[in-house]
Amino acid sequence: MSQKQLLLLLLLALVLTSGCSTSTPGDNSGRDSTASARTSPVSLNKDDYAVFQNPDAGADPSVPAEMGGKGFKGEGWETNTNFDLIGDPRALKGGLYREYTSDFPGTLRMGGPEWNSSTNYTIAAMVYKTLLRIVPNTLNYLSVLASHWQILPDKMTFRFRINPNARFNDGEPVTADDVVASWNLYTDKGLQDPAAYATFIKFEKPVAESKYIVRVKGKTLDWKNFLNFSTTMLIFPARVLNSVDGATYVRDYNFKYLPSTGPYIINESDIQKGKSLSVRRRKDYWAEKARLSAGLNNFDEIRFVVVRDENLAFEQFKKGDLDFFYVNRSRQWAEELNFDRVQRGLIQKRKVFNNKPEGHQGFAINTRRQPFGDIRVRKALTLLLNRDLMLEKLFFNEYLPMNSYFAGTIYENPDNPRNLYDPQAALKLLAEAGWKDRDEQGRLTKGGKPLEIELLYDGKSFEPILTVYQDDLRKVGINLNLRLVTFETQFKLVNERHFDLAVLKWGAGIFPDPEQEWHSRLADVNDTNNVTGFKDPRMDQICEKYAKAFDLKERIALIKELDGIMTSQYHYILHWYAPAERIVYWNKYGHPAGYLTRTGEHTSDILLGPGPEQLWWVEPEKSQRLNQAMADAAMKLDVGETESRFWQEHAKKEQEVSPGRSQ
Amino acid sequence: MTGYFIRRFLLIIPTFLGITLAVFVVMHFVPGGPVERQIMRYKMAAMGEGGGGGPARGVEIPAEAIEEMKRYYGFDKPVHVRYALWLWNLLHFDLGRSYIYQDPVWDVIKSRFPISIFLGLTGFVMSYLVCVPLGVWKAVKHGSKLDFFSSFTVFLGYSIPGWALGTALLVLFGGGSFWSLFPLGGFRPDNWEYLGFFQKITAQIHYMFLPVLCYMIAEFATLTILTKNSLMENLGQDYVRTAFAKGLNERRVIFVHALRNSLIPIATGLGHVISLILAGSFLIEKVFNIDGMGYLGYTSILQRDYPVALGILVISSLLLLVGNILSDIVYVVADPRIRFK
Repeated sequence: MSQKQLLLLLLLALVLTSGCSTSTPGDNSGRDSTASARTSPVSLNKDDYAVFQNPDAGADPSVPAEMGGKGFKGEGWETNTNFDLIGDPRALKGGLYREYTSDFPGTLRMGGPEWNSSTNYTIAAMVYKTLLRIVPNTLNYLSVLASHWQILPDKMTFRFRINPNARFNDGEPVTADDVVASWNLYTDKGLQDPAAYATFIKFEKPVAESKYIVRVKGKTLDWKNFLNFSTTMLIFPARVLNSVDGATYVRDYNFKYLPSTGPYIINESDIQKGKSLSVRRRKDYWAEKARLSAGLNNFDEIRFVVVRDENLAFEQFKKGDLDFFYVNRSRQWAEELNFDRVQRGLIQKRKVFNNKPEGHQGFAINTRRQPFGDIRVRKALTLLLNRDLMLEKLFFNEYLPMNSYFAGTIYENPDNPRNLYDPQAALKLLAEAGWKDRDEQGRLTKGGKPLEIELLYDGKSFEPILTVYQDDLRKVGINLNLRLVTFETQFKLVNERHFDLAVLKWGAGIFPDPEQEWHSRLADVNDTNNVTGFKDPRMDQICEKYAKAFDLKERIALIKELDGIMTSQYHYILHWYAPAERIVYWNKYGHPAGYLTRTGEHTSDILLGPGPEQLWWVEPEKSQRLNQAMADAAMKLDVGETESRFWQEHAKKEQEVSPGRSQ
Repeated sequence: MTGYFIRRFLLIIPTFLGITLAVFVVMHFVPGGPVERQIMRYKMAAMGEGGGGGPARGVEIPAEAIEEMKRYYGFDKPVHVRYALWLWNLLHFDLGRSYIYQDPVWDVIKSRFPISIFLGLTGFVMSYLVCVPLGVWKAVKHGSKLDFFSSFTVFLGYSIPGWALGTALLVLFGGGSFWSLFPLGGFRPDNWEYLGFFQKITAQIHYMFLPVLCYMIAEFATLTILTKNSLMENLGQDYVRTAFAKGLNERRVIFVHALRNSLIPIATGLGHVISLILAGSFLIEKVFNIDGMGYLGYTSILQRDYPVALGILVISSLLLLVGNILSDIVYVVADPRIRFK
């Protein structure tokens, strides 16, 4: 828009709208007044926070101790009483935290069609609880609804002892029957949840041995069975589920609430369909005083405001209508976040480096098609991707080249090849593979046929990268045809193995699951994650060994080996990854030293653990100073260090203590 | 002529069947249907620019679970059976349930009517209120500086995409970057229920001023220029000269004789007023964060919410078909020279 047009519009709108204003940028007083003041010094020693307080207080006296009731000692059972604090106990309760979500969840069910949205994952983390969970720092198990657990010698049968103090929000105790009922729900085909079904059908029906002890047997020997059963299955009350089957749940419980066991609840009045959704802190959360909650769950209300347009959400954040904004684009970070309120410290800008799980992104190569069966061709194509140039010119050096399928995590193999841009080496490799003649257009040929490659992609945002690559390939005599298709079409073509190269991006969990993507039995069938056709006997061995490795250290070693095999086979031309979470927020919060957890992202998640919604709190002093600075344009607040490398330093220290544990 | 309109009404039936059948078949075969979409969501994590991929919930989905899903969405039956079933339900006024929102389709669509009617009606009324007088004035002052300047302005509005203007206006007046004059998106304030009648009116204007402006900015040009040109053409006619010659004053000639004739092409659009209940614009609703019909329609296609997409199709095609006939009736009423046979 030219300056004149802009001026014209400005005038027009100013004339039309004078006197319409109701809110001003500084109008956020009183919003955070609910945070209560700190009264006495707070201990930071984890031992001052009991793991189980009055462990028997809520136990049913009619259940004998050996059946998990009053007087249960836990002999022969496992539990974790040596974990560090996850939150910061200096946190204060109260206040409101507002973030945005790009779409209102179509349902608030915790299973079935459309349940799997990121908002629901966050809600699940705050509202519902599982038997155990993972300590984000050490990746050990931790008691939640189950105080103790047992892995029987066959390593396929697991027993859990429910914490007798665990309560639903209606005051009813959690029992072994609830676990059985929840399993029934998740394996009910009527629930229409193929992922849950696939996960939990790997067990025989759990058995309630007593009110507090439940036993379940997996059908295969796999440590993931223990993980999935204990940390991903939300527990719902049997007394409701006994009359609600999967189909009924899907039909009737979209916005109806099942009693829950977590620190937050959703009230019907807080569901504004299409507009916003709030979870509210319970004042009677059963595990409030336990160490696993110390310093966590501080805000009284967490509100998810639906903003469908990312730019609008950013404007709302800048105005103060949102408290937190996750910066997804490097350009936005580099160029749009240097305005006055950032420079004066009213808005804080942080780049948090941690060990969050990292998937992999790159050009997948279909090795079933020629000439991609030849590793020399694949390697040459890898060496022709000028990642350093792209990172500098297109991404403001915000990302790092990805040289591992687990980049930046504890699983990364440090000895993987770096694959720097090297057209000469690439030409040499191609010549070895027989691509050395040239036709009259200068293209590389073999047996008279030119080297022509088709690359599938599904979004115009990739084009700057792709055209650079296309250009670099053309320079050495390779024709790269770019083919833009919809995501759905690309998915179909890739799954049916009809492609040369395709831009793909995979997510990752805290614990990798390599078998789905790399096992040879999936290489030549449709609809699997092994899209490149990876076949390697050692890989199959590792996958099988991995499933049986209940020990984390052993698994880390296996994944590192596997990472080495995968990268040496050049099945993906790997791109880059973000080593840090880029976040901006209004300067009124207290937070643990690392801002996020070691494996956590910018939002709470049922599997990754607590995010700012649960870790942070309103610091009344900061909040007050923020209000003053909003009113006084000359006032400056502490800008703070933009980069937080707390978790990287932590990992380094850990390395010094016990080498081999971390990267 | 009655026979003609009866025939026209009867023709609605095969046209409607043709439209819905074509869309239904396309939807059946396009990749990424509801079943595939579910599988996709379980298999792949969200795409993003730099990585930091979301947690994977990747599991191998057993074939029996996929079969079950196909049955649930009705994709286990051949397309002609599905179409027949859908038509049968439609005859019983049952549009099915939304795949995404889980509610009956009619409820989902109905909940957007207030927004559509607001956008459509204000847009409609405002554009007629502004454009017809402006067009008349421009025709009378043809060739003047003001005529030129107003043409420039309406064509400027015509050439700026509404959503782009919306983004610019929100940045300028939303309070995030420059002036805080308007709320940053939304249809109504959160405290709507607690407002008094007059407060509701001010709040509604406050929230909808920018969206409505962007929604109709392009309409101004068409209607204004149509009015102007049509009136100018009439002003050059013999009967206008006759009217002037017999001594009528200018006002009477223009407003009573010429304008009435020049409104005929404009009046014919009136038949489509009934389509206003589906008014909306995906881009403007997205930019202004309004949960309206345009957004619903577009996302229902994008997210393969077939029952909703078909529901909107049914309503909009019926309204359009009926609207066409109404337009013809208006035509006949407005211009006695026209006869349909």
